Amino acid sequence: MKQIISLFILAIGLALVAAFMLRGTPAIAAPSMGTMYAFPTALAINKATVITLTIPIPDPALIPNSVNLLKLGPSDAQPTILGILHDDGKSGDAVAGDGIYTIQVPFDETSTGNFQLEVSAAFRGLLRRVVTPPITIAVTLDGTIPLPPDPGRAGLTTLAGIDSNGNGVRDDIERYIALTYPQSAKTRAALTQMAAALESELLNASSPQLAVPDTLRWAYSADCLDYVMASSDADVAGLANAANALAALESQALNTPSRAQADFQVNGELGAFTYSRPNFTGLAARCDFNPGNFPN
Amino acid sequence: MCVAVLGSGTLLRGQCPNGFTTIFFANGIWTTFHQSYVSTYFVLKPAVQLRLTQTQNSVPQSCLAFTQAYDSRFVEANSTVIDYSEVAGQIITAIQQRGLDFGATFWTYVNLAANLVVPDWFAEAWEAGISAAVSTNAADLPTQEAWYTTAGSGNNTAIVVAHSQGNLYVNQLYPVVSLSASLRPIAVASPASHTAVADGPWFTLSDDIILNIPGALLANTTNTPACGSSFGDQFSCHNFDWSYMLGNNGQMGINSTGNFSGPAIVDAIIARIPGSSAPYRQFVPTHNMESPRTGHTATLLPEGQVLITGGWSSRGQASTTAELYTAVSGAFSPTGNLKVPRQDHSATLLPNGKVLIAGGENQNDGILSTAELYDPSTGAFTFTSGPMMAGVYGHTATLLSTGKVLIAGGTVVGGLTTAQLYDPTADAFTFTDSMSTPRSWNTATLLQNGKVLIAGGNGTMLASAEIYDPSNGSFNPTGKMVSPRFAHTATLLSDGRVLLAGGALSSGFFDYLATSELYDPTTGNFAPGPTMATARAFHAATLLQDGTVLLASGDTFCGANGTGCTTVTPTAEVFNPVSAAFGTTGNINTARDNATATLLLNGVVLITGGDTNATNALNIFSSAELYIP
Repeated sequence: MKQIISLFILAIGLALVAAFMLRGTPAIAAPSMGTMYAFPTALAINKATVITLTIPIPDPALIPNSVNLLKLGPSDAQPTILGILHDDGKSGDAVAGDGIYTIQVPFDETSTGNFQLEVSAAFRGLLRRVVTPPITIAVTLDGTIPLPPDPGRAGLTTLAGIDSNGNGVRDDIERYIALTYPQSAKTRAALTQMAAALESELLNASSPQLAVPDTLRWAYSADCLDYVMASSDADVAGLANAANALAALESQALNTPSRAQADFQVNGELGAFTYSRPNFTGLAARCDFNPGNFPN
Repeated sequence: MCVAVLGSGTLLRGQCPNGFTTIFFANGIWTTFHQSYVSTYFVLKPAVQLRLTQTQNSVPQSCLAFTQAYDSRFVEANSTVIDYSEVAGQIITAIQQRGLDFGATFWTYVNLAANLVVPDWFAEAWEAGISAAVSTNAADLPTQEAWYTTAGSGNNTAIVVAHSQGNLYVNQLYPVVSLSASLRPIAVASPASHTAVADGPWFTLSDDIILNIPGALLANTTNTPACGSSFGDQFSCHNFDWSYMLGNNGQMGINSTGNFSGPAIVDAIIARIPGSSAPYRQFVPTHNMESPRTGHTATLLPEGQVLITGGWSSRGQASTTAELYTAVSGAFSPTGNLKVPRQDHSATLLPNGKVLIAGGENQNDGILSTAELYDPSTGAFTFTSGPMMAGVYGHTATLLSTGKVLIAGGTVVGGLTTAQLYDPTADAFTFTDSMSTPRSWNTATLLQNGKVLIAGGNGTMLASAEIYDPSNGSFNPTGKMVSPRFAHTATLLSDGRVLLAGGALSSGFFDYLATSELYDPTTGNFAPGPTMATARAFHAATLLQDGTVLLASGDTFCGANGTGCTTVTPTAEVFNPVSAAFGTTGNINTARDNATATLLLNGVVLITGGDTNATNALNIFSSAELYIP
């Protein structure tokens, strides 16, 4: 009888353990890694070029010195670790401790084509490292940026449109930015940040709880655009240029009824909401990249 | 760099001597968050900052913050929440139904409509949506109340630049937020001929068909583009950036070389920043009364409404009508009628909430000895149980701390020195002590010690004053006034003194006074006060919430030396008891005498009715104005 009771208790214990295992570990919020930016994103063959790569990782659970830059090889090969991104205000990193990690890596490619970079990072409480979507670097004869093909009317048929390189920005918008602002890399970067934020707004329009974080992300991108296109709060011409660039991008991005409707839906979901922009000197930190790393 | 510590009385002194000011941009329903961002940070902020620099204004720019107060949801009377995505949806549907190229139509009309004629189908879709969205309450009023009260608390100020439907939710704040130095809204709407009053309490557009809200309001702000009467014109002239921040050279408030090109809205904003060298205080028109009135009364009721009674509606014709002003809507509406027509009567709010209407005169009965009570709960007037002890008009009526009402001075049947008391408990009048001298157009001021200062008047001893003591019901002499005067004003100051200002001498109606004097109840003496910029009599004086005194309009000389004629002056002045000086303020929009001036609960002064001087062509006004302190 004593053995039967012991087996019964054991069975209950095993059942509890099994139930716990089925239930899984307590939920942990997904680590927050922002959009990765690289400059330049195209290299000339046989020409040594330094690529600066930045990524915002504001998650406090991030383990320092765990942010690796990886170069992907063939699909069956292991990625190569190129270095560790840092947030120490040195070697291209704009501000120490601002949550934006940076690395500068020299490349000297010997053949044309593409290669991809990604970032992996370790977070406390997670067994596996978190990896970003890859960013594509083109190697061309003259180092010009290859654009995705014009999606044409096919790009108008869905809310998401076509994003052939998977960088979070529709192909038609990516082309628009590149062709409209060929003289300013940091303007392109700021508008790319804005386009990605706007795209996120549209695709999340049916999720009201994301309206505020998505809109904040957009507001930060507008702050960043203000910073890169104006020299101060008193730079009237620069601010006007930023306002025009913002409006023009909005018109390009919200170019179908469904996209405009989604944008209005997000605005309605905001409800009572306030936003205060920092003074000009605080705007640089709104960029997902370090504007100081761009030559123009 | 200023760090806001809300609620601190010593906040930011030194760096921000007048506290931190937050300027909110309150968007319209059609304004997207993106457009609101541009309006706030790319247009409004640099224009204000540059203008501050150009005018060498004393406001430190580091003491200013700019914030988007974004909302696009509104609640209808039936509690249905409407957001403008539904409005936009109707227009988008209309575009799709017509098979139009979306990019070439929708955003053109939204962003570039300045020179386009909007087609009927667009207008129809727009109006269908907007009329569904216009509503009575903001969806998130408590949230918005928190924004403004937090930003405007302590030593800080919140300035709300409300554009279009942004006015809807700012309007809703008036019942819950005191309009004062802490909250200063600015309305923006278009076109100019349809522009709302620049300052609340109800400053939404009226006949702007974009908003389609009934109830006309008057224009007083500058609108840059020339707007026509078609929908397209109104639509383009309604845009915040294009209509209000567009400078004369086509730039947004400031041109490409950094010169300010003059939207009036920017100066209006700066004028509202505490510490700004630009004056803020000004008069703005509000709704007209139901009837023209002069010699009428205006009494603030406990719940914030103002009871307007009687007065001449035309020369020699006293009125029985009465109306109520409601601060939230800014509108007048009829209430019950007086039992008899009255002008130059008195109206006194009693502790029980009723209003005592006493004496006066009319074209049928002459001087009236009857009195009535107005009951706000029923809106009806009833006679008091008994008549007055003597008929009187042009008198004073002062609520005493005992709850009784002292009726003194004026033109009295049976003796010019007669005074009487009304007892609300007994609902009856009794004689009290007589004044030492007859006087009319005198003043009566309840002092902080509970006694009443009776000063001046159009009698034989115009420089005399006396004190009524309710404890023993007697009049006693006090110090002699510096100057004889009648038709002056007497205002109890926060420190207990009394400011007597303006008036006229008894030798004629043309001897208007610019002088003032101060009565000190602790010594019983009058002392000379500063001199006003304009001599005035039959004017209005109001103690404002900040302790200053507004003296507005009234009769004055036609010429510089004051011989030969009388006119009404549009000027107004503010007495500062700390500096013991008069300062200039904005002119009243319609010069008038015998107007009433009532301090509303939100700190605004309501000016009603009055007339041009009776010795010339008599115009009696139904118009009303608000003075924004």
